[in-house]
Amino acid sequence: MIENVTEKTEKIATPSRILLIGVGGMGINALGTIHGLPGDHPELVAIDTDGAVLKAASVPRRVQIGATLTNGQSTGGDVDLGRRSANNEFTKLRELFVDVDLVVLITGLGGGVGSGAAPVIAQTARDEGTLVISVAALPFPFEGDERIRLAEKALDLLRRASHAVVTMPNQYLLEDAADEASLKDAFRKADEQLGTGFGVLWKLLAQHNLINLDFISLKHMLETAGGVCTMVYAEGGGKSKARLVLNRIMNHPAIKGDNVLSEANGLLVGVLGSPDMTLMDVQDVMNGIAGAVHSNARRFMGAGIDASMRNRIGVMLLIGGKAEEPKAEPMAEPPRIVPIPVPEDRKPKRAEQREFEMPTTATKGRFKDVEPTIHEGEDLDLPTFIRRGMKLTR
Amino acid sequence: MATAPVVALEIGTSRVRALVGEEREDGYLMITGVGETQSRGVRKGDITDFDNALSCVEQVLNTAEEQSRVTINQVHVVLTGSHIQGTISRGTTPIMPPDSEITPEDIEAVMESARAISLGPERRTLHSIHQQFFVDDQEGVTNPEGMVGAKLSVSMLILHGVRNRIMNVLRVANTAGVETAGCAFAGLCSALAVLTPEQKENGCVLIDLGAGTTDYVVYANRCIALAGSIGVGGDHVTNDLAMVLNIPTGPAEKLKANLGVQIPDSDWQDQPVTIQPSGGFAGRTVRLADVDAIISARLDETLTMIYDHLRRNNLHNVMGAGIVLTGGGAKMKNMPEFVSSVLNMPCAIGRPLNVSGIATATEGPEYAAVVGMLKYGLRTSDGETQSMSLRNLVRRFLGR
Repeated sequence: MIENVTEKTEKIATPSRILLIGVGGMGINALGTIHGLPGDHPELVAIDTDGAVLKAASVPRRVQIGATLTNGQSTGGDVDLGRRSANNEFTKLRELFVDVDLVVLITGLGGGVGSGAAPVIAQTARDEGTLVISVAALPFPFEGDERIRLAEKALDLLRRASHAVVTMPNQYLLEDAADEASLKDAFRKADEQLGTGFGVLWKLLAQHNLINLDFISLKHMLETAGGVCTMVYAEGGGKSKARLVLNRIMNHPAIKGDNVLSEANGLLVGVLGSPDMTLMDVQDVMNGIAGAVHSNARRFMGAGIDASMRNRIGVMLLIGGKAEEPKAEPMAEPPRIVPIPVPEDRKPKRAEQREFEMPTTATKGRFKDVEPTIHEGEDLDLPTFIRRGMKLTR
Repeated sequence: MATAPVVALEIGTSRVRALVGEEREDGYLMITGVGETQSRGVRKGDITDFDNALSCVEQVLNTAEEQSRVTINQVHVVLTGSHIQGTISRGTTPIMPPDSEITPEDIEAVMESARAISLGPERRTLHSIHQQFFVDDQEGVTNPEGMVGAKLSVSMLILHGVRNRIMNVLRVANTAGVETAGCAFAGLCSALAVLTPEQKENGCVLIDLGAGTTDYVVYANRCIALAGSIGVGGDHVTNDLAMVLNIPTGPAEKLKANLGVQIPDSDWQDQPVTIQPSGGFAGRTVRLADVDAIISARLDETLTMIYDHLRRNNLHNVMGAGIVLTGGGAKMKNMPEFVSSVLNMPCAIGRPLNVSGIATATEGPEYAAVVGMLKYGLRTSDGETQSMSLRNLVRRFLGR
C-alpha cells in the first residue's frame, strides 16, 4: 500500500492500513467522488443492502449486507432493518477490519442503512481494535422533520461507537451555493469536501512528507477532540495561493462566524501542495491558522507534495473540541426549496456529546506545562514508544 | 595553593551542583568543595520556577563554601538547553599587499569577520571556535601566521543561544549573591573534562546524556566540527515509562535506574518485573521486554537524531575514536553496548580526567560538565583571588 517509504519513515512509523468505507447511498456516492479524484486514494469499500446501488458503485470493493432480510433491495428508510442487516453480517464485517489501523466511515444519516447499519459497522471495527472516525452528513432541513429526528438519534449512536465523529451539516453548502445551485450540486459538493479532505489526510499519513504526520498524531488529535470534530477543506492556486487558501479556510461556511477555531482544543492541519509549493507557503498557512486558534489548543500538522495538485495548495483541517451541534434552524433560504425548522428540544444536548472526552495531556506527563520539544513536526515529549505505534506485549 | 580557587555552578534539570577547585602544580585539578542537591524548578535545562531554582543554588553554594572554606564571590555557570545551536560561519579577508606574509592582525581581522554573523535580536553568541584556516583555498591550515598568500579565510563554529533563557540562568546565580565570571555550553565543558587528546585527534562524538537535554560535541579533522543540544533527556525516559506503563514517576525512575537497556538472552522476554507499591500506588508486575522496548525506543530515537546531524555534515565516517558517553544517563545499565549497536561505532563511558580531591566528584560521568566548567574557569580565570572580603561577608550575612 505504501510506496517510496524511505528507510527512516519505516523506522519511525509502522505503515498504517486505512479503509475508507461508504455506508448507504450517500456514503457510496462520496466514495465515487473520491474514486474519481486525481491521484491515489485509500482502499475504498462500499457497503449497502441494495444490490443495484452496489453494482452501480464505481468502487472495486463492495460488501452487501442483509441480502436475506431485504431481498437485496433498499431498506426503504427502515432504520431497524438497516441495523439488523448489519448485525446479520457480523462475521463478514469483522473480517473486513482485520489488520486495519484506521477506518473512515462515511455515511449520510437519516436513511435506513446510514442510520441503522453505520453504528453497528463502526462498533464492529472498534471492537477489532481499529481507530474509527465516522463522517456523518446530516440531512438537509428540507428533507423533513422525521428524517432529521432519525438522523439525530443515529448520530448519538454513531458517537458512542466511533472514536470521533465529524459532522457535515449539509445546509452550509446551500448557504455557499449560488442561486442556481441544484440539490444535486450541493450533494456533490459535500462529497467532494469529504473525499478531498480525507484524501489529503490519507496521503499525508501514507507518504514521506515535508512535515511528517503520523497515525499517532491523528490518534492524539482524536483523543484531544473528545469525540467531536469539524472537518474543513479548501484549496487555492495562483501566485498568492497560500493567502488565498487561508482566506477560504477562514471564510469556510462550516467555521465562519462561529467560534469553532478559537474554541478548539485540538487541531490537525494537513497541507498538500504541488511540487512548486515552498516551505514559506506552508509556513504562511500554518501561521495563519495557528493565529486563529487558542494558544492552549494542541496542534498537529503535516505537509506534503503531491504531483496531482497542479500549482494548487490544498488544506484540510480537523478541528476538535468545539461541540458543534447539528444546527438545523438558522438556515439561509435554499433556492427553490422551503426549509422546515426543527424545534429547539430536538437538538442533541451538549452534555451527551462530552461523554467521550479523554484527558488531553495524559501522555505528556511531567512535560505538560513546558514548551514542547518539536523536531520535524513531531512532539518529542510524547513517548517514542507511542509515537512509533509500538504495543505492550500481552 | 597553586592557583586561586574557582567555582563552577551547574543548575541542571535533575541536580544542582557547585564545585570549588584549584589547579595543583602537577596540573591536576584539586576539588576542595562540593555542594549538590536535587534540582527543583528546572525542566529540559530551562528555569521554570525561579524561586525553587534559587533556593537550590543558595543551598549548594553554602555547602560548597563550608567545605572548601572559601567565600564564593564569583561562579562559572554551565549552560544547556535545546535553544543552544551551532552555526558554521566562514570569514575571508584579503592580504594587503597581496602575496605578503600573513600577520597576527590579518588573523584577527578574518576571525572578526567570521564572528560577525547575524543571529537575530533574541540570540547571543556563547562561543566562537575557529576550526581551520584557508590560505588561498589551501585547506586545513592550523596557523597561517607567516605564510604567504593573497587571501585568508577561516571557518568558525558559532555556538549561540536565546538571550533570555541564558539570562534566566545567570539571574538565578546573581540573585543568590554571586557574580558570573563566565559561562559555557555544557557539551564543551564535558568534552574538556573527559576527552583525551588522542580521542580529539582521532575524531569522536561526545554525548552528554543529561536529565533534561542531550548535548553533543563532535571532534573531526582536528577541530570541533559540530555541537548542539537536544531537548530530550533522561527525564523523557522516566516519563515514557510512567505514561506507557501507567505508573507514578517515582517507580518509573527506579525502573530506569535499575534496568537500563537489556542485552537480550534466552528467556528475558517473559521475565516479570515487580514494581513495589508506594505512596498510594498499588504496585504492579510488568514484563522486562516492555520496559526495555520503551527505554530503547526513546534512546534509539535521540541517538539517531545526533547521527542524522553527523550524516548531514558527512562526518559519520570519520569518528575514529567513536562515541564517548557521559552525563547521568551514561550510568544506565549496558549503555555503551546499546549506543554502540545503534550508532555502529565503538562507545566508551567518559569520566572526568586528571581530577583529585573529594571522591564523588572525581568519578562519575554525571560530573563531567561541572568539572569541565571548573577546568574552563581555571583556564580563563584572571587569577583574582576569592578569599574573604568583608563587604561580601556582610552582604551575605544580611541576606541576599
